[in-house]
Amino acid sequence: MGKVIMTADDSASVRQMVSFTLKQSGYEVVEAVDGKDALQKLSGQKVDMLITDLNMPNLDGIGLIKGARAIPTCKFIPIVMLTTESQDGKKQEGKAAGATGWIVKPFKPDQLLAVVKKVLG
Amino acid sequence: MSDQHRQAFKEEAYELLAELETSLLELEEAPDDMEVIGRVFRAMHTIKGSGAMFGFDDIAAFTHEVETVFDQVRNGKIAVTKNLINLTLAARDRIKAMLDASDGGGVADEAYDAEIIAGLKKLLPETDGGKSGTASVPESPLPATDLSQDDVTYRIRFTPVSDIFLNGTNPVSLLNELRQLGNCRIVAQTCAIPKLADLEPESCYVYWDIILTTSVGKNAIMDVFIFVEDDCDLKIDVIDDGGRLDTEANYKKLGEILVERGDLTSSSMGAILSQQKRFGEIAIESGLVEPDKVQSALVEQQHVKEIRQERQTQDSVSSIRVPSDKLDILVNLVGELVTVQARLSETSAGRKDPELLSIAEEVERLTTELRDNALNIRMLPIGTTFSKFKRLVRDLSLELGKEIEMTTDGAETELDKTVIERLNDPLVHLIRNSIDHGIESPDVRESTGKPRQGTVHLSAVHSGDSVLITINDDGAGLNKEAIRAKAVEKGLVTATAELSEKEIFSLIFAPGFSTAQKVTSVSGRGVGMDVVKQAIELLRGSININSQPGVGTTITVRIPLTLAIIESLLVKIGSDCFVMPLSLVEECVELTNADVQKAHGRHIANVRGQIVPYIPLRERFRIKENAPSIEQIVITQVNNQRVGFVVDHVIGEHQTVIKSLGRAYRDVKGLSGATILGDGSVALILDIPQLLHSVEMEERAA
Amino acid sequence: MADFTIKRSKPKGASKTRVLSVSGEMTIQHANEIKSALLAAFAEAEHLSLDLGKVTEFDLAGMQLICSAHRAAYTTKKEFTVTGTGSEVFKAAALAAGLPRHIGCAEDVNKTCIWVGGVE
Repeated sequence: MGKVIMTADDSASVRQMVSFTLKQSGYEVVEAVDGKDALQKLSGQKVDMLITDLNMPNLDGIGLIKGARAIPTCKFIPIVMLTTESQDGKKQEGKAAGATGWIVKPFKPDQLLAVVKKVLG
Repeated sequence: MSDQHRQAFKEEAYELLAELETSLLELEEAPDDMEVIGRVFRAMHTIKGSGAMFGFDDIAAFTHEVETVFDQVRNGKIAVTKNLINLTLAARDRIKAMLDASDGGGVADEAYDAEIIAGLKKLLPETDGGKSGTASVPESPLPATDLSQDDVTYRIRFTPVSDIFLNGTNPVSLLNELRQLGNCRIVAQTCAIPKLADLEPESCYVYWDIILTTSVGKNAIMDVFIFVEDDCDLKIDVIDDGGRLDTEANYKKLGEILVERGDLTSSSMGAILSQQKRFGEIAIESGLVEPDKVQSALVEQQHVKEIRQERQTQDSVSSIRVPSDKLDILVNLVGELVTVQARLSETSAGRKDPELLSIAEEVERLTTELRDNALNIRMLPIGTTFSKFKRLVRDLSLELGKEIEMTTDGAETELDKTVIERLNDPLVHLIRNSIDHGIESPDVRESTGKPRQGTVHLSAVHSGDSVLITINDDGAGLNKEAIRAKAVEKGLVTATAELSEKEIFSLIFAPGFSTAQKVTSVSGRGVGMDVVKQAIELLRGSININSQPGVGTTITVRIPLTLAIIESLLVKIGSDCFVMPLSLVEECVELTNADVQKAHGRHIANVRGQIVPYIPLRERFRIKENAPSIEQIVITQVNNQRVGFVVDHVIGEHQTVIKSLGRAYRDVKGLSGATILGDGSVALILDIPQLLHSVEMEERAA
Repeated sequence: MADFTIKRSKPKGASKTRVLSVSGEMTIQHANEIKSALLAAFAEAEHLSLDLGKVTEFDLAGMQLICSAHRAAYTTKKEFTVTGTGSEVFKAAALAAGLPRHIGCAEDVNKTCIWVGGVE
């Protein structure tokens, strides 16, 4: 049974790349186009991990992390945020909101998988 | 990155750029609309981030500048102006052009790009002006590998904060990551887990002691914990540095480890040590340390012990120093074992008990293997001796005014250590002779059309259970006439004696023989060659000369690999057994009464048309009993001569452990030692060259 | 995904014994629930047997609960046994967390620590 990972990103190309990389490694992937979409999907479906961008319309990454942690099934799942190097302060904000870790953009598929493995075990 | 992903990015970027244009125009109408400003920022941010990911580095770098400005706008530091809108629109067009350019369309215009960026930068408040640079210096959460190649052992104490679970961290997956870095032992410390009623089920009460041996370095270990840096207490200490500093041979004592970890005070350690019991037990009983901690310290002790042992095993592959007398004892014991094994084989052969027979065979196989291995341990390459000779040749040629080069071959050939040591002097003599008598002076060489520089070639090679050492020079060769004349002069041979080439050459080994016209400090006074011969025969070896006038001389020394145990031929005369070194034996033929009569009393046998002289050992050893009608001649090859030794029976090959005869019989000629046979009886080992020599001397005297 | 259930039962002829059988994920997701069930079972039993045979996943929080229950048992002088620890899931999880050991904790006076020996 493959673990289910949600990727929340308003950039279709990033979603596609994340999704493609994860599926190739045997994970199931759920895509969400922004924070609001992600929260809606999370309340209906249990996922094992969440990878979210920080800058998204409607509900940004920080809001999504806080919202997800309030959902019982998401209380303890690993949440990894995608940040850019200019957002060091965001890292702290994200951790405070309940993020498990981060991936710095730009990243390569290997780096993504390494982080997924690190937090999912 | 696959084209598929690049294409997806481009489609997305075109969409975003279209949206960006709309947003910017909207913003011109309502410069304070934060929602629109946010949209512009996000569009730039996505183009930049995704652009870098899919290899559009120019776009990423350029967009980064625009994003920086809009970040400030978003934070209220810069106001939206007409100028900003114009510049951003221009930037948007440039980004689109860059996207087009990646397909071959559009034109790069760096000057214009720079102009736009300069314009945007002017808008930035002073302090931030210099900050915007290139867009990608990615910080990677992947383990960075250090340069260090050595395995270092770390003690890691990882104590997560109690609410570690709440941010989705699974500490166990970090432990798994550590396990992938190297040899890892992990002990969970559970002493802090409270009773059920007091337990906060969503808190983490466990911490870990980890002993990790790895070559990746401390930074890579820290990287494992990168996400939890602020959510845990992490202590990483080096407890074993891969042998670079390990001078103390002992592993740390349990108490020391506990004190080092801060789990026990040193005064408590002293109190525990004063009792004479196992430290761990007392420590727990006395309640000074939690059992968990003792457990963990024990694991550390064990881990370090193991990696050090492993390292030692690796080290010992290269070499191990053992006093040579220990090896002598081992070889002696193996010798005893070989003797006992021979008895076992003999006894079992007599019993006809298949089970006993198979055991005896097994013991024989193992003994042979053990013997070979034990003897092998004593083997050393002959090369060290060779290099000493190089120096000798250099010094001598200087002294004699000759130009000589020494070449060697087979320096890696292995020989018993004792043999190598005892071989040194004879070889020095032989090399001196080659230099002194063999190689001509440079002028003489030149006049005979040889290069001025002479060559002495020293080589060693394995041949069966012996090593052949040859000393080859390209000198004048032996002067047969001079040797013969000298021998006649010294009374070694009669003037009319018919001598073969080999016989003449062997004359130089006679005591008191020297052909050098001039007595030099090098070859001395002609005591060299007979001493050499004796020394080599003492090693149960033989020496052989080949020479061609004007071309050079080759001296071949054949030396058995070892002195302790030899393969030999067991023979019987009357009721006594004798042993002959197999390396000297060529073949065995029958000797009938008829043969003896045909030879008219001379000790000569005709072997396939060849005349082979023989020595009847029965006569020589004055063994009384009558000889059987058919005797055996064991034909040996000694110093280039084929000589037979007549015995009653040839029993067969025998593994002979050589025992010395002891002081009283040390000077007995013709015997080199004794051995114990399977039935417990003693057999004497024949010194074939010595026997031959003494017979020759007697004949000459007669 | 297997549903999480926790069942309490009373074996016939042993009125003071309770068997608590967990199936599904014994993880932090259900940690509170498991704790309550354990406490309730302890309240009415002299001997509590925890059956882990049907557990499909353990995490550290799950294993902490076992330790905690064990500790509760010997401080209240009740008997606590754990069954179904032979499964690969259990063994792998215990090993991963570094729990197997040679000596139990200080409170483990009766030497009934389930992490001692056996697991490896």
